[in-house]
Amino acid sequence: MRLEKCWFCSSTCYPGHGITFVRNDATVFRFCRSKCHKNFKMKRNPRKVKWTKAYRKLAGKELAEDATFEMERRRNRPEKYDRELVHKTVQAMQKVEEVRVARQSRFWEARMNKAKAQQQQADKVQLENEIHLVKAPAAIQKDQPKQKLKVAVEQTEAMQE
Amino acid sequence: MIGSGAVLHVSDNSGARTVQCIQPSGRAWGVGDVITVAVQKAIKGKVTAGQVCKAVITETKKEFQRQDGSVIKFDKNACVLVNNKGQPIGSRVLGFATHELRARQLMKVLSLASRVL
Repeated sequence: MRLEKCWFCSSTCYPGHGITFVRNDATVFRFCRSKCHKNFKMKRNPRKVKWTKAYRKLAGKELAEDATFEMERRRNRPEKYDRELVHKTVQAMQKVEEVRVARQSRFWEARMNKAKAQQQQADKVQLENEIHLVKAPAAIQKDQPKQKLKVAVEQTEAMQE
Repeated sequence: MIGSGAVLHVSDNSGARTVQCIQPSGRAWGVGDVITVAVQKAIKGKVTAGQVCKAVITETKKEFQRQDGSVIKFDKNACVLVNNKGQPIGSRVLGFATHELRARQLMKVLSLASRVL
């Protein structure tokens, strides 16, 4: 049995799950669950709904274009049955899957590294701006004159010499 | 699900545009069922408005479960007019036909349909 992709979220529609809707213009919409079906009925655009594959790929959150995705693609030309070819394809599928997972994880790591640096920078700025929440303003003021005094004392000592 | 009084589109070239289900209710009728209808609106063709004939339901708005476990639904309620033997009155089926008709021995309707789901 062919496992079709959900029209809304692009996940797999397993047998016995979801619903198929046939529009008057003969377009077939497959949905993996009622959540996707409901969102379709609300006329939502999958590209604008954050949890769908379409959004995540568009926003650069997931690996969008890769040669490994070309393996699993709908082809209109039927292939003539060949035992040897089937055997080879099954082997290739496993290999392609490995490559795909590795590439996806690498993409995720690169994205997270970038995010980590950004987060640290943001934390730093927040700490500087909201230091009064950590330390009382009076205590900060108390610290500052002391430093100035120290400098002043050092200057006077230098002048005396 | 079609009950008595329901209005259906006619997706063939018999001349009828809309028909009303006048099948005595007892249960709701679904895709593949042959029901009795009264022709409500007809253009020039083999049937005229007011005529009573049989029709096989081909599309329903209400979703129905198929043998393989999948669930399917359509945009409208539609039927194809047939005679008492299950032969279509028109010579073309313009809408969809489903494999449910095969189980009901309505092969002629299926073979005329251009879109079989």
